[in-house]
Amino acid sequence: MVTTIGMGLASAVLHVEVVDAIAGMELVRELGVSGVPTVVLDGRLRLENPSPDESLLDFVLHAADRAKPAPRVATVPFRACGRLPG
Amino acid sequence: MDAPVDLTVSVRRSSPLLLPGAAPVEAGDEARPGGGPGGEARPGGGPGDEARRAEQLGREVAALEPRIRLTVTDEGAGEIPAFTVASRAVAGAVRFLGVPRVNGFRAWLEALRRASTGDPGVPPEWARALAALPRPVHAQVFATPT
Repeated sequence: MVTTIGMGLASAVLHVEVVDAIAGMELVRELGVSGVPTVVLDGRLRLENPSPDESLLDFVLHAADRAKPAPRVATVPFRACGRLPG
Repeated sequence: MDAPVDLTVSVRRSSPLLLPGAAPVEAGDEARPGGGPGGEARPGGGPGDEARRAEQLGREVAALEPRIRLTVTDEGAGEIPAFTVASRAVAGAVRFLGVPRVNGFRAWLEALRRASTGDPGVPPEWARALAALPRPVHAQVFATPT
């Protein structure tokens, strides 16, 4: 997942940063990341435990152009050792 | 590996200042005996240790693969070491904050490979949509070393 989001999505206008959540604890606190893996777009849109086949691309498009509707949340918070049922 | 990959390691260098009789002090270590901000534990020690590990990792991987062009710099370096992976085969660059470990290390190696081959690993329609973004977006991916 991290790899897919990383090199696969990076482009001239999509700047991708992969943060080790332990080394980057200050960022984790600042952005209020509660579980990992989490993707934060422009410091405001947060997706917890996304998977590539869900709405990640739609969230990126929404972040770049607020005129595009935000997709329904396709993921649920990551808790304990698995996902909660949708 | 196909095209050369530019790997830039941004780390704070050791402080050149030494007090007579005192042990060398690493930049960023002096006020944080616990390692991280506020004294919490950092993986494997303080920022100076992380910086050394980051530079060592960059040098080792560059020694193994001649198509990796390594630059180690302290320009723009923060407390957390950063690796930037880029190449002419891909449009963008990925920045890794912190020394990659376990799954993060796999992702880091995979990023080096993808940067070289130009294989985005996402569907072509994603690549087209991302290339047409009307304004820049900053994506931060948080992962734990599991």
